[in-house]
Amino acid sequence: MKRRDFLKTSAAVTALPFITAPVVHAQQKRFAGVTLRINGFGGNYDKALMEGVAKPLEEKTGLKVEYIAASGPGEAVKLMSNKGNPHLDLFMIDSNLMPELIAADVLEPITTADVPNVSRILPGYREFGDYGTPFSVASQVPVFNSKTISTPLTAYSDIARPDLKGKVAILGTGISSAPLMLLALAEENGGSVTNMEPAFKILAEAKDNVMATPNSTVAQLQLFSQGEAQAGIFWDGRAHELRTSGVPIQTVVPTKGIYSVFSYVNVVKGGRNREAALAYIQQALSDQGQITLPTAYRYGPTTDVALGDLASQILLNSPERVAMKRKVDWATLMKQRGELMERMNKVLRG
Amino acid sequence: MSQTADPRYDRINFIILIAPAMLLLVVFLVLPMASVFRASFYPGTTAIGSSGFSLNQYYKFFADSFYLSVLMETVVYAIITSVGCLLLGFPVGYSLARLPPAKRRVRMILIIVPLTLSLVVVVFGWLVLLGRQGLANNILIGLGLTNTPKQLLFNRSAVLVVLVQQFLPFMILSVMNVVLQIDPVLEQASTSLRARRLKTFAKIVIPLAAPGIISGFTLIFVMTASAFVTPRLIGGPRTHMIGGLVYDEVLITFNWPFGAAMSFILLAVGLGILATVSALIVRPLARGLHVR
Repeated sequence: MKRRDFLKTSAAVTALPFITAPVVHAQQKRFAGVTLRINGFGGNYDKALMEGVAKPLEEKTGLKVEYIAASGPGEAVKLMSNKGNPHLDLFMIDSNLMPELIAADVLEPITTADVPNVSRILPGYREFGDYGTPFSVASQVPVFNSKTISTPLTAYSDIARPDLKGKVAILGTGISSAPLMLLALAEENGGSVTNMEPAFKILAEAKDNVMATPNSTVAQLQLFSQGEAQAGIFWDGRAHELRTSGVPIQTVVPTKGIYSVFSYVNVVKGGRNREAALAYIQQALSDQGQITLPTAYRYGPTTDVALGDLASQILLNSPERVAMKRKVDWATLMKQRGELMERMNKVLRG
Repeated sequence: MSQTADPRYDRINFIILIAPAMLLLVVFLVLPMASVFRASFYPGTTAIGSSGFSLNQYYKFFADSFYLSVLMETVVYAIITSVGCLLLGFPVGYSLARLPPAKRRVRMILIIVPLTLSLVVVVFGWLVLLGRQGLANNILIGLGLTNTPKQLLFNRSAVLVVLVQQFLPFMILSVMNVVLQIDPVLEQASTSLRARRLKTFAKIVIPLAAPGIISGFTLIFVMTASAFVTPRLIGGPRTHMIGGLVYDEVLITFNWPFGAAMSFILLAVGLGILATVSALIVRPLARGLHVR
């Protein structure tokens, strides 16, 4: 062998492991080359999930997750109308739309055998049996601006207080979980999911107080941040966001109970890679995944994860608080949503 | 005789030329609309797996004063917005048309730029502008017209102001394009025949610009009638438009049959109003121009 050939061969042999190492390493990863599609809630929410769930999972398993920001109800409609040929592999959706999706048979049940971390979910947090794995909990609570409202609100029904004329913003009918707010108003005043009349009595009393019914969380956030709205019913995590940006919005813990929705992640029937989808859920329920949304938004976790210093800033942070969370019969509530929303529009229009 | 001079070949060529566009329209507009129209006759509250034929959805709409009042409000908004855009847009469109091309080009860019912005961004801009700490309130306080900030948002006036701002460029462009075709000599001739400016405007400019006015009016009427982003973000709980209710029925309560029925009612009412406007205003204008 000539000297030049010898040197060339030696260099190639030396470089080979360095060149091929990442490829070999990726091939060793369980889900290398797999990409899952999941709907996103948009903006920083998806970024937080990307950092806390998707990226660590990709590092461990090679699985890539693509978040597609879209409206949850809109994506639910697509899944139901394209049953068997889903455009998503995983589906994130709140409690309120779960009954409809379960009835449409587009979701896979998930057990502890599928996802070991399911065993860590707190008691009572799985509202639909084996369907859906809750990964976060958000509450609709009364809020007020402590700089402009001198008497603190103490209950949902306080939106009808005479001193709040023209100052209240509540969830609009375009928000799919708005019926929960009506349930809170009903139950606080002796009603129930089958007797929503008290809610409309309170709404009628609050009619002149309600200056806006924003149909998006961002719009409501803006109203509170620019001082347009000074009291209302809003998401606990978003109220925290306002406080951190310097707006003195106080969150009220209503004594008669807290009304919350869980955000679920589901495996879609007919999705591309069930094993990979289950791995995503396992990661979402891990300590690393569970601390993501409490850190970003102060929304509550759904497992026994230790919250540390964050605990004091989270609404459902103790067994006592969790006990205050009212159980909701979502199927019954959402069956009436059309009539509820129509009636809400009529009452507020006057 | 060449082939192209034969009317049969003309017809065949015409059909071949429009066939791709027609096919697109049929597949992506007519068929989906037919399917939505069919959904409006389902008896229940869902279109998935539904069958049967019923007028329930239409009955529900016309039997409920709430929906009728929202329909009326929608039509009134559409008319006011169209008229507002005409009043503000005609002078601008006319003056642009009479400018030298170079100057017109610069001003046209200023008119078109707002159309390139996302509607949501524009509406959020108005939310800031009309807010309690916004520019509008600051000006009112600065001028001493009020001591405390007024609530300028979440009422009908705010919705109308934003709708007019949104759609004004369409009227300006429609009017400008038509006025460009009107030979200024006609106006000069009218003046030399001792017609006053107002008479020249009423008897020469307006009738000749009628096609532009009507196309702008129609466009703005249709866009306002189907608007839902602006009324939902700027309007309060007492301001509703049919577009918002359709959105809620389709995407929030999943009641597609009722949403479909509302859409077709709005379509029918809109077409009816436009046909009436055309019959009562456009045709007489055009006739008057040709006769006199």
